[in-house]
Amino acid sequence: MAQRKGKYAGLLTGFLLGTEAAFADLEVSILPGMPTFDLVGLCDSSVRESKERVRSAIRQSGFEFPTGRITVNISPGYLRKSGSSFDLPIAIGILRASGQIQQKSAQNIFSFGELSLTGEVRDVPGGLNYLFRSREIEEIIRIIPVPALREAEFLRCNAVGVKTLREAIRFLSGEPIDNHSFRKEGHPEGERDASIPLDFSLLRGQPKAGRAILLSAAGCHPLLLTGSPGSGKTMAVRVLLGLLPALNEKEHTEILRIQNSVRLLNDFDYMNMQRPFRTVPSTSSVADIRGTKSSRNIGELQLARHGILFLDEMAEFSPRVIESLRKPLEEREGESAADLRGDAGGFLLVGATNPCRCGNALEPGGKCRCSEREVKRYADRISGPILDRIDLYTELRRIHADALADAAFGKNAHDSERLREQVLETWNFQEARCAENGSRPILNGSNPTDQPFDFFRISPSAMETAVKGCERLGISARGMGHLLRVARTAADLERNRDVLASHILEALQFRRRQI
Amino acid sequence: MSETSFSEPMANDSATISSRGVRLTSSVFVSLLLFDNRVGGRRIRKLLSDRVIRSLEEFYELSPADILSRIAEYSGEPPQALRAMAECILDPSLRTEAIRIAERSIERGIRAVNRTDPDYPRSLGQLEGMPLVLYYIGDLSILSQHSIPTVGVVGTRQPTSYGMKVAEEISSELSARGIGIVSGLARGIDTTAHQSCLRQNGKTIAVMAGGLDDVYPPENRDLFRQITGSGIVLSEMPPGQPAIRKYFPARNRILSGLSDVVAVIEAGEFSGTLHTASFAAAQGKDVFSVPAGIYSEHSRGNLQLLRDGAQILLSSEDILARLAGVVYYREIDELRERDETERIQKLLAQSPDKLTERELRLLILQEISLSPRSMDELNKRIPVSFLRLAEVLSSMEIEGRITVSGERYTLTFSGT
Repeated sequence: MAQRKGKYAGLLTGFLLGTEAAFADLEVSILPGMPTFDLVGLCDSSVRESKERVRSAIRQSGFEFPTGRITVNISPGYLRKSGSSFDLPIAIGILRASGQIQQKSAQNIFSFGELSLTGEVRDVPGGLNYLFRSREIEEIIRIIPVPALREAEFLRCNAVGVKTLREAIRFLSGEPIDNHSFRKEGHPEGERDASIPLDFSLLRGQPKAGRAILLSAAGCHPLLLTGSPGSGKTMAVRVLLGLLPALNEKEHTEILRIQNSVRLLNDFDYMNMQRPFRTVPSTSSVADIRGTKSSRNIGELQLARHGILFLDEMAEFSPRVIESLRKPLEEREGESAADLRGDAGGFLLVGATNPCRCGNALEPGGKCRCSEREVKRYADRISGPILDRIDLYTELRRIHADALADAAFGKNAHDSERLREQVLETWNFQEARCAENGSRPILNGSNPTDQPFDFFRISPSAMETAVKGCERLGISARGMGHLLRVARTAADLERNRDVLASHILEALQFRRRQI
Repeated sequence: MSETSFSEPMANDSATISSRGVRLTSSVFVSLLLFDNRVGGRRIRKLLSDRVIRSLEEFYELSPADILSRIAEYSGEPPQALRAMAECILDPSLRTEAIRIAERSIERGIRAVNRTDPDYPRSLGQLEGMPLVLYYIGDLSILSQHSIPTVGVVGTRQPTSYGMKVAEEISSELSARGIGIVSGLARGIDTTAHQSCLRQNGKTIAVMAGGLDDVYPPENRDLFRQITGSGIVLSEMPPGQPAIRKYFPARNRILSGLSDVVAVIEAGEFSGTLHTASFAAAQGKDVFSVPAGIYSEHSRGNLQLLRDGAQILLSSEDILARLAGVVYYREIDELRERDETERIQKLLAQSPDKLTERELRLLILQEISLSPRSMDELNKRIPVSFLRLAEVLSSMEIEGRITVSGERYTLTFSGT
């Protein structure tokens, strides 16, 4: 470096592209001249704020902030970067370039972390992703914030946790430093309470909804619940959540990585193997749902991966937002976005809607004040293309006092445990059939409707019933596709190799009907 | 009138023939009273409804003294009319005639059923203005309580080949499904309808305009015999009455009365078939009409019917869909009458899993005939497994017997 005209140092860090981390080469060059401090590489204002923190942290840690033209380049320069994770690598780079570190090993450095004005190193979102990516390079020194050691341990990769910038420099200079232990806060976020699964027995007074939920879980069938306010739609979805089999380790890692790209993780996240449950409010925008590529906005679609995407008040969504869901549900070629089992790690779509504007159309006693036309118009607000993707329809009604007594068992009952076992067995049964037919493992709900149902093994009598039923009840070809998929799951739940007429008849109960 | 002008009751003479003969004679006697303008149908009905005479048999079987005393106490008619009535009822020549006709009938296997009898055809019993006495040969049980659904297939006596083809197809398809074909044994469409039904080993019902001892048209004598073998031939006319033109419309009201729905295959602009259609409409039955080209003279009446609101008949499925509802109402009624309800309810309370599919269907119909019910409500009231109930409900929905509105099951009212 001495041969050069100026001073130079380089190290590795990462930045987030959506939910994935990419490597970034961080270079620091110090040239003689008027003292300036520039940050280049398509950095947004959150990155440029680093300059002030780094300047202060270096001084407060007892180092010298070099004078001269300091340019920090984070490449590749054509990708947008944001966040505060560059603080620590910038500071290390500047101190190396200015010769304040006597580095012993020639190994590459990989680092991320935010600095306080006094030089303390703080954790940043995305650590899990950065470390996940860094595993691609062997022989690398990872210098990370102490709390991020939890992520390193989870990924089983070596890293050095540092509490302060000073400690980082001491380590790089070959001096001994303390072995830090980490402890994440085990406090679950408030929002999580609403996504705790409920027991199946709560649906005892509503057998139709109960069955629809079991079918939905067993075959990953998109589901629409129609019912008045207070009829238990959200409760039903929480029951459904409790029927989904626990995550495996790979899925868990993926979910943690997605979560970590927007927030810090806590111990609860690591212990909790529950699938995500994302309630999307009807005021959401397209960007809220799909995320934006340019900034660090992660959409609900991704946050719901491996779990449930719940669209409450589906009729209230703007058509554009609903439309934006179409494609992800459609992308079934190879990469299915709507399959909980597939490699892509899709989501299960569950919608809920009132039957009409006042919400009482299904309730007995003529409480509904909407005219027939209004009811129809309300139902029509849910766009057709999205309804085309929904396999199961069920209605919910407020349950009466005597049924409530039944439902009250829900608090102590454990119906869901048995059913969750059954759902898992059904998943395996479907996977085995796929394997038998040389197909990639998919659940029935994501079997493309435009592909023939070759290996569904629909018995001739069942097919006859299906054709006759569709003819008589005015069900379209696509509707018949849904019908066969649901019937296949009904058969799978019984571990039946063939779909029988009785399964078709059951599935017919859950078709879409005009109110 | 003086007592001496009456001979001893003829009933004593008729004691020589069997008791069935007596019953038949009393029925024939009522028929003769109907034709005698001293009495006539209106007065008979009035006497019955005013409880002066309590059953049709009494006209023949009561002693002259009883008849006279009952009529003497009666004030529902002017005295002159009452006198003429009594004279007629006690007329010995009328009684001799009745015995003569009854004897001839028995030879030919003709029987009679009175409106007040329990085996009087159920569908006619529910209608006004139906015959007090019906003569028949064949199996009366086809028309009794647990009767099969019936379709009246009617049309012109000079059909085109199109009409013949349609009549044959519709009749065969319906009889193959166990539906009875009702027609008038006339030439043309009627003949084809009866024949097609017989070929399917179905039950066919012929309603004739004249007495059953004289088959009109004569070339249908063979067909007549075949029908009496497996089905039934009926007439309101006592034997000996020829089939004359003016009886045809009266016959048509019985024909439509015996049918659950009426299908008009081919009818010209002034065809008598249109009478049958209007009787059917007046009796609250659905009329189906087969469409044809507007230049076809032979189907003018059909097009007229369609304009007036008849149902279009494109295939036998149209009729089957409508019949499904008819049959189910009948089944519910039967269930109530037979008091099977209690047995099924008991079974439901004790071991619902033992219910047969038919019983389950009847329970569902019973539930939703009271008020529309959701799946959950039905499952609560009929606590069989959800899957079993779902299966039955879906089948019933496919068959068009029930339908869903506002996510609640209701009975179908197709065609009304």
